[in-house]
Amino acid sequence: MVTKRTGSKALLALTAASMGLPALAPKSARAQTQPEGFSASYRHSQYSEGEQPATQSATGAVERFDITVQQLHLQTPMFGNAAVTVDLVSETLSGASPWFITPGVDGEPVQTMSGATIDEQRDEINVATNLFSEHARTGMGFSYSTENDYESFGVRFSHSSYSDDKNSTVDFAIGGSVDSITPTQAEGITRVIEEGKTNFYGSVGFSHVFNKTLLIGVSGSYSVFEGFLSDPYKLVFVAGDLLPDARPEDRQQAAFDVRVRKYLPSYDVALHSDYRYYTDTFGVVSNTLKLGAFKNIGSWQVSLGVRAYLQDSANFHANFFESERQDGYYSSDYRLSEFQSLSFSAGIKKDFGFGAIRLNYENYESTGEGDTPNPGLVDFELVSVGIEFSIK
Amino acid sequence: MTMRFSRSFKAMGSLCELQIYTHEKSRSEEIFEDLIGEVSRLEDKYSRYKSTSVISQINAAAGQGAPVYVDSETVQLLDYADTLFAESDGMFDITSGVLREVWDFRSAKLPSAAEVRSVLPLIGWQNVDRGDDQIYLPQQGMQIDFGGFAKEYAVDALAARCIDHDIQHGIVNLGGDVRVVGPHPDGTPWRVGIQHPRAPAKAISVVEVSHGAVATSGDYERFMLIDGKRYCHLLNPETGRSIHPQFASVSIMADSCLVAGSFSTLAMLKGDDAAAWIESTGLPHLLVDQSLRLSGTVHAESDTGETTRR
Repeated sequence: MVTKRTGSKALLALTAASMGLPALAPKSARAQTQPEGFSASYRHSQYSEGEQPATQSATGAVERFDITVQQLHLQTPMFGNAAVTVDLVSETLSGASPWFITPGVDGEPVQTMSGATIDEQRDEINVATNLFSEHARTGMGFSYSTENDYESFGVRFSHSSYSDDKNSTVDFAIGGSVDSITPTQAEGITRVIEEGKTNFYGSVGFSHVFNKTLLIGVSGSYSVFEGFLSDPYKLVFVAGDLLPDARPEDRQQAAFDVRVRKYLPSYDVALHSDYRYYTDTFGVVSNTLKLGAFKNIGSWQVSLGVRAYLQDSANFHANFFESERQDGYYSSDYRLSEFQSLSFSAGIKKDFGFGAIRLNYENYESTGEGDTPNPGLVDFELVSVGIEFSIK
Repeated sequence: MTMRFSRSFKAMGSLCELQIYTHEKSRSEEIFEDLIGEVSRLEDKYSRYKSTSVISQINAAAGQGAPVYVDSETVQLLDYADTLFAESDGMFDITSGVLREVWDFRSAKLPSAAEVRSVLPLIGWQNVDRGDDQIYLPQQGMQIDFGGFAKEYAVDALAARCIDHDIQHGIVNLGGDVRVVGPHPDGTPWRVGIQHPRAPAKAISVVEVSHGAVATSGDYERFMLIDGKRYCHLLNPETGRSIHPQFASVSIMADSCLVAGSFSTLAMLKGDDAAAWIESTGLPHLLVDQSLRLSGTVHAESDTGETTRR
């Protein structure tokens, strides 16, 4: 009766043997399943960029963008094994954006902002259908987005398949979009009349539920853009002249993602960590690390998050150019500069039987890197309020 | 505003109780119906007393020359039983139930050596033929049963269903095997009574549980006293004799009730090294020895209010 087997080995063996048992894993940790009833959610967000400091601006301190975003999400089951989802987004933007950078008296970069206040409206609709079966989910979606100077039409196919025990998921997605831009013209400024671009992308992902408290997922994606990829509203200072922002007509992007979801039952806390490596043919390389914690207290959920981002600049980015480049590509867009950013977020959510209300806050600060950081880099605050409800 | 709702019922030969916090009574009724439906499903599927159960079909086909095909849930439970057999060095054997035919605990009479010898050849999980989705008991009279873990499995299955119903605060108790879905809404743990091994319907201790499961195995479930000696329902599959466990009961806490229950049974089946063996698993536990002394790592109160902690 005396055995040499250790208790800890037995614990591992029996825990492993119990893990695949079908009745034990809640559906929430299992595969995506068809939604049970109609659900809807609405979110209102207010995004405010910090003002451009007078010390770095050619025209004194300037308010940058304020953006109001309204999002409506509707989902309903159909035909027994399908679901239709409709997402509507409406954004209103107002403010000024970085226009060009010139060398100051001491050679320091000075940002000139767009003169007139820009008022913009963007509306987007996404419609998607998903078919659910025991071992798979197949989806197809269309999107259309419009602004006064921009139009985009997109299509997406996705497929997820699940292992018998529903613990492993393989995802594929492909999609593309066709965009056209007809920039608003202004007197005395030469801008392109009408341009277009196309995008094609594909992604593959794998995720596995190791046990009821641990999920790890990895995915890779590739995307290619062709056409007019420059910003028609930005200018670049090149050897004394202001030239239009000019970027290559081809951009290939690759990204690799790892995500880990860990639940700590004794604290009722879920920890999320996400890492992303990104690289593209413009020369931009970035690393993103996101950490989040979600704690349930009764019907309340409190969350805290931090996101760190580190980016290397594009090959053809500089605040300004003393001489011409052989390839003819120039940009002083702060989004292509070398910088790092850190953002902190906090949220609170209250669950009711029929739905939930949530409030989120995010504070984002970016800092330029390299010898002379881009003066257009932005800080922002984001406040959003959301309400969601479902009818089962 | 969530309220607490509870439902008691009999299933799997035990008194069962469900308690959940939810917003309205009608919702709680729906959830209770669903959970009781799940217990019935498992009982119908795995009870050896129901002739249509998967277990009865497997047992009826013993020695008949053809295997029985089973579904993936059954395959995985058989795999679990296989692991239990291996990890216990054969002491936890789901083919040993045939010993009940010679051990009648209501008779107050020990089986004779010849009677025990007559059924021993029918015991031995290692002799069972298994394919991917099939099982065959090679000898007529051989039988298996999931009595050693079916109730614990059901407890976990109900807890998983509670989570599917968005229940964040609740407790599932099937005959003393307990799984907590989450603490009371104010964060206080559930107080779970541990059965007194010598006084039915009385708790010897209370443990506090916010998450996970507690399961207890004891020598008091079925037994007979002969010449002052206690013969309990735990039988050694090799000798066919009753085991005289070191502990009157062993309670184990683990994430799942299935694992907690398996370890409480394994600890009862172990010999003198049971305490050290349980210690080596790292699982919180409460041991009650034959003199009713409490020990273990669980912060527990005896019914006199005395607290023991190692």
